[in-house]
Amino acid sequence: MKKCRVQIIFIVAVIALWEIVYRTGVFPELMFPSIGSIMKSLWTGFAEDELAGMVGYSLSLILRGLSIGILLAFVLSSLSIISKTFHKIYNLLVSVFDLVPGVALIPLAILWFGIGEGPIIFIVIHSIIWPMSRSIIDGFQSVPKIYIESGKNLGLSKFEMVKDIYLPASFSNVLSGMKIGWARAWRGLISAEMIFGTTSAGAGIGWFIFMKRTNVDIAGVFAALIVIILIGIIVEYGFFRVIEKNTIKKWGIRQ
Amino acid sequence: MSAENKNVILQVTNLRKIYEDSDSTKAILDDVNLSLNENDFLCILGPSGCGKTTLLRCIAGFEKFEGTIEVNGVEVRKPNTDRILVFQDFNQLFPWKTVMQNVCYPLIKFGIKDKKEREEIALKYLGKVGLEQYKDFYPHQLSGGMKQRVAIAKALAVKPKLILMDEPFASLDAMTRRKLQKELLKLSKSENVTVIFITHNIQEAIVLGTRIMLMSRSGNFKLDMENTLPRPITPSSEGYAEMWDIFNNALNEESLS
Repeated sequence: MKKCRVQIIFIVAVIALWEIVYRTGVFPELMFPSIGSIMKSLWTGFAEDELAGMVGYSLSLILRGLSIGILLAFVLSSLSIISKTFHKIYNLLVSVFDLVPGVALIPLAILWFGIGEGPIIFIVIHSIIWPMSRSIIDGFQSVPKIYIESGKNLGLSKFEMVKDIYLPASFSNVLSGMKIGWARAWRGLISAEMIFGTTSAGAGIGWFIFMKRTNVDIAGVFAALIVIILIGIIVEYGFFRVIEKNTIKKWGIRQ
Repeated sequence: MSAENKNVILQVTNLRKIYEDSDSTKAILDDVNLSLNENDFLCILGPSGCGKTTLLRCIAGFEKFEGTIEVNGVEVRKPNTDRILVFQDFNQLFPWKTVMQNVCYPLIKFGIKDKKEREEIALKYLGKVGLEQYKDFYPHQLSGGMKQRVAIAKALAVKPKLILMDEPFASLDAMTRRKLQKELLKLSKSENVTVIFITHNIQEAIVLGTRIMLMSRSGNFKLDMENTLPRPITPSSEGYAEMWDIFNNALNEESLS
């Protein structure tokens, strides 16, 4: 707690300032709802509007997309270590597709996969696979020669080299790739949900925001944003920081 | 001490190595011939850039070369656990593995399937270098000298036919260096290993080597001496000063030429 004191004070100050601005009445309430009404929307969101279910649905979509995307990024990046030709082609693909925003692919995704979960998962995979591959390949290429030679000295096969030397040696890159990929995928997912609305299987948090906007419930929109931020914080501190602590920090690898 | 009643473990014949990317066609190794007996401790001295490390890397199977290298009668094509390199770089241990895991890992490749058996072997060799109590540490928690000790334990554990040491103690302070020299000397005797040890340090070569060779800038051997000084060898041993002079003069000549 001591380490985050500055951050906590800052957040409290922002909330206080927000409330003060609200009370001065400079902005209409529609644009600038009070902290109280945002909190109330948050409560009713969970109590009445099934916000928890929507969050769960969004998370299940992103988890499915991320696991496929991460797996593909690992397999394809590893192949590019084994084959030089593949490396050249894959590098080109990564550079090209990393530039294409996921949302821009939505029309195509609908055309290919129809309306439903398919196109959303496609967008999530697209969001993570390229930045993650870029990080993994960069990491693989900067593995110190001494580790590679230590591995070769044991007569390791190419597969063993990738699994036991390249991957752990470039783990800090793998992690930062995952972080970037996760953030992009989370953004892409919510954008996609706002455009698709509901699928036959359920509605996600993007749909919640869209509905609140349609009903001009701006406090509700803010409440959804808070939920999105909170999930981001939980993933950062509950997942990434824990992995970091148990891997690169423990191993004394700094980036 | 004649060579006939001993097993030849390494036979290098007409070894030539030219680095392809260099503009000049000068060979870094030019017609090197070397025959090494089992349990020999060969120290190779030589000026920087004379090809000592290249020779070691050829024997380890890391480099392409002309000529033949045979270990126990089998031609060297690529790296294998029968020839283990110990590097100068302290970072040769994998930072993501504990000391124990670092020593155990090559044993998997060596063919020991049982995890418990691997750990027993690892612990035995960590004991030989005095580091059992550090088995759960990560390399970044160890000093340079300790890391090199683990690297030696790791090399010994797979019982290689040859241990190839490329200036393993060169980055250590003088005190630690002497201590590790003593330990290595003891281990090389008790473990019956054959060692090729590259160094810049004449003292180190005389204290450790049963045979000392000097490489010249022209890419072959200039001196080849059996080290018959009575052990343990210290700078005050009889004959030490003479031997030191021989190598020192030869090295000076090399650096002047």
